[in-house]
Amino acid sequence: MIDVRKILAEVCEDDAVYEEGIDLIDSGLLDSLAFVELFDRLEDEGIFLQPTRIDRNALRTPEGIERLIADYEEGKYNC
Amino acid sequence: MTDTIIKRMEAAANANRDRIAYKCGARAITYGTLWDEARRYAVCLRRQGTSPVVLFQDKRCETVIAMVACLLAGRAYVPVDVKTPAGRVARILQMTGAELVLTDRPVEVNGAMVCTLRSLPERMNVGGVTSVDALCPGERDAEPGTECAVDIDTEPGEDRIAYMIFTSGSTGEPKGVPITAANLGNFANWIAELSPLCDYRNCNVLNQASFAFDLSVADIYYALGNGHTLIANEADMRTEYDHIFELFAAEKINVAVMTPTCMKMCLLNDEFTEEYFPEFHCVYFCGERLEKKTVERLFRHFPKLAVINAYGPTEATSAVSAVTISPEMLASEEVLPVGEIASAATEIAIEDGEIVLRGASVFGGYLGGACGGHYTENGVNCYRTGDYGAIRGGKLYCGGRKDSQVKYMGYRIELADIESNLLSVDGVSDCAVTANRNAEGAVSTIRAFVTVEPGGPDEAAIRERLAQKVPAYMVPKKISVVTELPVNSNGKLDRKALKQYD
Repeated sequence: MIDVRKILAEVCEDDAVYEEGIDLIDSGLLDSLAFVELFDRLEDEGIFLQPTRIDRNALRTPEGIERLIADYEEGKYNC
Repeated sequence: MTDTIIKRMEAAANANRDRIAYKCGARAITYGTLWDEARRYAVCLRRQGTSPVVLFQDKRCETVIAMVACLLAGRAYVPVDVKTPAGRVARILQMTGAELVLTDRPVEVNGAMVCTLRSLPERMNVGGVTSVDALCPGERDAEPGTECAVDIDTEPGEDRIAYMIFTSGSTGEPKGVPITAANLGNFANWIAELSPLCDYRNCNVLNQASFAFDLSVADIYYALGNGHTLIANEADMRTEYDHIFELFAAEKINVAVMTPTCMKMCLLNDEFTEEYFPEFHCVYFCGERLEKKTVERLFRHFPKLAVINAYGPTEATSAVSAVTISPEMLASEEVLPVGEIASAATEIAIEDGEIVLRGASVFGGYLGGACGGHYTENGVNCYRTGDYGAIRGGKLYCGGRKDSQVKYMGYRIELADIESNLLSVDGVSDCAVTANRNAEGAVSTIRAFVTVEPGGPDEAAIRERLAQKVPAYMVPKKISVVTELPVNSNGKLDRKALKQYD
């Protein structure tokens, strides 16, 4: 199980990602550079997601991204 | 070929009257309509005044008509991004002395006419005439190439200002870069002859950048100067990650003019490949450092793609050099080159490690005489770029800045500009702005460290007030209020010690 929060904290360069329910997009934490970096880092961990096939709301919070990764690891995500 | 910018665009328009010149979302305009409308509105613009014309509107068809009309009328256009804070817009208006603002938004300005292009004739109300057709009788049904009833065919002088783009300035004020028609004509001829762009016909050319960002000069004048179709991206690339990918799919882009950061977003999609996008032939990168990793991934997706890496400051008309990155170059070069000296648009030299430009592409100095690297030598415009560089094997390499200017997502930012604006926030007593870089040296984040007076604003309030002063891309991703800024033994800010606050 990868530590999604740790990766988010590194790509967003801000520990605010540890706050429950924080909106990564509205807060500006997950801007396009961080977004690219996040998917790069996930690929390094063997997780290959297709951003265009993901509901944007799933990427809005750390919890949403954690759920997405958990689904991927359980084989529920087939993009 | 040494066409003036107007002759080049006129030839393209006359040879491609029925072809779409510009498309933005569901709206499109043919070359014939673009040219005819621009000629008519140029008459209005000439009658309305001689000052620069601020274009403060989205990438609609009218914006492009207005640009061409300004060129024909001999008035400088000043593209200002619609997300620019009101205070900065007001300052730009004041600095340019613009007597006309073409916009569909409310703009507070003293003394200037504010209207849309379409409503300009009515607002001018010249002798009771309220339509552009009445101002230029007979033009509506004119055959291509027919002389206009008014003196619009008298081409304005080449030393007139064609456009002005405002960049970040180290004093906290935006800095105006006036580019002459001669500069622009030289650039348009250079990019038209650049291989392999010169070989393409009837292409769909992607415009990714804001018209207020000089990267767009490359796609606008490459496309409209050569009979291609310019496809506009309307999305904010900082938040709408997948829009460009969708645009590639919907518009069958052949040539993309974009920043490397934007391409990285496209490359996140496994389907962004030659198999699904066989019509994508060439990408022209400029505006920020191109990382090898990006090109390696690009070649995996598009093995036959022509990858052009271009270089140039706003002060030398968008770009002065370019080189096609080959797979062999990728394997042999530690850092990718940014141009070939032999095919450069202007003379390039390295002096004391700095890239210096001389000649036809170089502007004639900042608006209002602001300080910078411009100087003349025997009447020739020269510009010290502030970029460290080297020339090896006929190729130009760029390596960092002499000052605190950074490129962030393609935007050029003076960190001192952000600092000046932070210091103007009530309650802020001192500040330092830094740029974090990734493993390949590209700026990944801009950070601000601020000290405040007792009872001063918190981080959210500082962010909000700063956003009213500078464009959104200049607002640091993280603003930290700290008790004191670290200084070294010389009493100067110790930027390395700022890391203690991370």
